[in-house]
Amino acid sequence: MNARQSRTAISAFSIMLAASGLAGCASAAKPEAMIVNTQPGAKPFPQSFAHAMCVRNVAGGEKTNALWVSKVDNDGFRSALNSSLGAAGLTAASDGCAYPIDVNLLGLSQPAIGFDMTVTAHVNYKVYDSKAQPVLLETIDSPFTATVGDAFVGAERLRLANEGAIRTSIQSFFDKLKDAKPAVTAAQ
Amino acid sequence: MSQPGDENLSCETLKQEIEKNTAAAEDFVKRDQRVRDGNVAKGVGGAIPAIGILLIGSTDLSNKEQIQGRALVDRDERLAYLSKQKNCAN
Repeated sequence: MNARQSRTAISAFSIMLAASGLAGCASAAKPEAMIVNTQPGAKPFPQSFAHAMCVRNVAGGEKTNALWVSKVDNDGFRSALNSSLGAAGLTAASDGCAYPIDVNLLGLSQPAIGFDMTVTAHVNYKVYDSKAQPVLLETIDSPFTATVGDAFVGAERLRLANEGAIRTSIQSFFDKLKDAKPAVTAAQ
Repeated sequence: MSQPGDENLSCETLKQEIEKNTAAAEDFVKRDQRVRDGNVAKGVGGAIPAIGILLIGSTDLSNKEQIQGRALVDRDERLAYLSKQKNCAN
């Protein structure tokens, strides 16, 4: 192999690395990319949830190591869930939280490399009423696939897949909330 | 974490299930740590020419053990709540 062929081979290999996920610095999931915006005309939430919910605890998130892979941390998830609750008209005033939400990020199932990257978020959501009785206890598994068309560099594609998986998870949580039947007495 | 019929479990069954889940969760935590250690080694080995890419490609980022372990801890929390509701002796 001459020098020109070597350079071509190295370039091709670098492109493959970038595309498959081994190149680039990992960055944490962005909260604003994980927010769910409630669509007009969508099925409504139970009336007693309106302006009566808050995020109490978020656990299980992980900080991103730039030399490793993108993760979702507790603060990022809390911010995204708070904003999503606000957009849906569910956020309570500071002293009026009748339905606290506890979240446990069980983990993200991520691919090591790949062109289409599918990440599945596994999240436990626990909603209680003002008497500390559980209103909703759900473990939600939500997959999301980011493609090379979404981001060419693998590290960025993995971050997009993480964000999509969390966004899908919050959307699924909202769908479960809409079907929940909170006790009327719990409403403040 | 919550399963249909949980409310009908007896105190003895709740106690047994909590103990079983606790032991299983501890085992998952140990296995998860082994996977993480293996991933670190593969990450370091990724710098080796030629076989490095194979090592990186075999990295296990499924977090399967962590997810199962944490799910069992959450389930135990639910069962402990039910046990308390039923005034079960510990």
